[in-house]
Amino acid sequence: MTEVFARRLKPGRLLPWLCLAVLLLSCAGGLCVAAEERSTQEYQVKAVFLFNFTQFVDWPPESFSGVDQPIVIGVLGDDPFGTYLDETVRGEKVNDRPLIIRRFRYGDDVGACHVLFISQSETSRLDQIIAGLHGRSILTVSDIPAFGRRGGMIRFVTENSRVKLRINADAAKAAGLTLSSKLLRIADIVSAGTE
Amino acid sequence: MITFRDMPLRRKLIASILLTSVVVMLLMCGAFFAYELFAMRRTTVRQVSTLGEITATNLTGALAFKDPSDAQEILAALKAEHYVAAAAVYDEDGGIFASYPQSVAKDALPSSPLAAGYRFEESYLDGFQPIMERERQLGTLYLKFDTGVVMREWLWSSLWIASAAIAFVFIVAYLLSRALQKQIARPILDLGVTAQRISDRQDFSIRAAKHGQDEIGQLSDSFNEMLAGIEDRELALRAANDALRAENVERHQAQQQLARAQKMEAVGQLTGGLAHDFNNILGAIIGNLDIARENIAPESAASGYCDAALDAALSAAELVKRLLAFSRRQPLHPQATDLVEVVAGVKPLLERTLGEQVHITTASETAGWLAMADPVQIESAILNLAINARDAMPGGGDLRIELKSVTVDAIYASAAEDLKIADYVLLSISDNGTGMPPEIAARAFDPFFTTKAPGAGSGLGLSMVIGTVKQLGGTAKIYSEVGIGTTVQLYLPRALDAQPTRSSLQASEAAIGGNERILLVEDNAQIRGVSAGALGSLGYDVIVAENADEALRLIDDGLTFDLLFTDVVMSGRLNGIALARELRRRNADIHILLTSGFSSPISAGGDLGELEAAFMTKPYRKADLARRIRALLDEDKR
Repeated sequence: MTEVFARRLKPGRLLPWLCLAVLLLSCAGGLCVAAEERSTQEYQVKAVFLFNFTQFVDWPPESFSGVDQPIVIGVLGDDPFGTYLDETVRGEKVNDRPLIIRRFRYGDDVGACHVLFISQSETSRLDQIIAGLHGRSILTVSDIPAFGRRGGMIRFVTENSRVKLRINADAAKAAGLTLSSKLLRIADIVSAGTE
Repeated sequence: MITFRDMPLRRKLIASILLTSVVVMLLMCGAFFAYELFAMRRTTVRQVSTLGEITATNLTGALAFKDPSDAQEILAALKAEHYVAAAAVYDEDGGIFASYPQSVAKDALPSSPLAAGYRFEESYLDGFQPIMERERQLGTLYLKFDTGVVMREWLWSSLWIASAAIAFVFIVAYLLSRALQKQIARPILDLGVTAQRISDRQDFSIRAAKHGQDEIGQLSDSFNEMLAGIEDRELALRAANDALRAENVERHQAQQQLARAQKMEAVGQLTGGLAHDFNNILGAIIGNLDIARENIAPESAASGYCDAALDAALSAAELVKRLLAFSRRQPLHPQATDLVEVVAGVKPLLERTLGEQVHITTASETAGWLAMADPVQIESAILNLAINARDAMPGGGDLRIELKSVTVDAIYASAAEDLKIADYVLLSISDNGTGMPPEIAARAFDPFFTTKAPGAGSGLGLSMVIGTVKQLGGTAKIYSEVGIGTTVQLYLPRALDAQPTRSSLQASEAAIGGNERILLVEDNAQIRGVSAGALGSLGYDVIVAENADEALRLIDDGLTFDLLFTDVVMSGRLNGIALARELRRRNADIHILLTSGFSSPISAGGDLGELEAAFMTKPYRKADLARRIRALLDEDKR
């Protein structure tokens, strides 16, 4: 963005433009910082949401090998949460199960997990990833556009700086997951074909 | 204004039951509402916390996924619970996440959540409720309740329920009491009605119905026992009263009879006294006329005058005789008499006397009974009644004379005055004349009562008849109806164990004389003269004395007599009877004939007792005297 402005400046009338440029730059810089900050805040909310999903979703018993086995939240692709996700789940327990964050580089690597956040970096491979997860009781969450239509379960939609949920309940049901009605009532419900 | 005390028993019972029911109901409602009020705080807290929990549970999603609009929506649903005054949701950090109502000022809500639980504050109940999702607190819910609204609503509904319940109980109690009061009130009311009826009708035979064995039943029993007692006493009283009344009637009748008897007695004494003096005078007149006739040439005019005077004197003597009969001083000679013969004997006389216009019929069913009667008096009575009957039939008519045997039994005797339980021969004399109204018929037997013109009748006819009949031991009754006729019935007592005596009508044949010596004692010079003359003319040797002492002196002088003819009532030491006794004492052979203006020696003031003497009433005809004396003197020859 900074480059766009710079390209339009002419050398002869540099000073006033420079002044303007400096002003604009500072503004733009502020904007960039604001955007950056907003993005960070957004992912902080999303991290809390990821954690909160564990409280509104029931997994089939076979998803856990033991009574006190942890609930695993996986992040596939580039991790947009930084340390925040880890901080969010640290020390928390849901149904007496501790929470663990696991990160996966590729879709094929996705191991045992209960919630899987698919990063925007995986947008192009999404179909394979969804196909690869078929038959596993994993709650798929992403902020990739048309995530639901493409077979994902919960999509984060940011509207007016607010993170909203769009849920493909059929997909979750197909995966053997039970979503709480409280979760469903605050979300927009979509199906695989309609988003 | 009717006070409770004056209310009818039925209403009093109903009112009592209703009042009791309503008071009990009010007390119960009061107790119930007091308890409810106490319990309501707990109930309200529980209600609020339940509402809080439900709301909190619903809010977890909104809090977890940061959706205030959803939370707002959930809180808006509290609108249904209109006593929720305010509500708020605080997030994990204690900031207000959502509030209700939306318009509520933020500073009206607690700025941050406090400890969980609800507290009453003034008319509010507020408190905090943690919003939990699987042990994790996502936020806090604040609820504020307007308990005033709750109270008001509760109060109103309570009042409605209480009113409805009381009304229902009132109605049920009213219906029940209406039905039940009969059980209690009816026996009492019945008793009251019975008592009222008894006092209205004065009928103590009515009894109260008994409905059960309770106190009222016992009261009914006592009441009935009391009634039985009253009834008994009432009956006894009535019987006593009836007896008293009957006694009164009897006494009244007896008094009337006594008064009548006394009147008759007085009249009798008066007439008896008068008759005595009259008889003396008539004796002198008749005696003198008899003698005068004998001394006058029969064809001369003077003889005719003499006869007329003699007839008149004899009529006067007859009248005196009737007076005496009425006053029962005429000596009767009752004897067993066949009344059939008497009637048959008198019938030709009646036919001549009554004339052809009166048709006489007779009938008799006496069954051979004889009556104790004096035939001469009965003939006289029949004649008397027949003449009355003729006078009652101015244009002629039927006269019926009936004889019948009658046995008066107890019932008949009690109904008819003067009749005893006995056998009677009933002589009825009926005419079909003008009849008499009852008030005249009732007085027909009274002496001197007459409906005839002055001079036409003495008024003694019927009273003489009844006097005769009563003297014979019978009675007379009169039945009369105006326009139909009159019947007079004479009840004559039946003569038992007796043979009829031939009735001897006096013969007026020529006087029979004799030559025996007769001592004539008479204080009345006129009569002494007449009698001495009469006896002398008959051939007797008559020696006269003015009084008893003179008569005794004559006897002491040695004179002997065949017959003593003496007046009873005389001045001097001894009366006729005493003289007769004295003579009997000295010489029992002498015949004695007493004479008096009184109808009997007893009424003349003496008692014959065992004295053997004949009696003759003044005045007497010379022929009668001759016959009596001859009869006495001839007794020795039989």
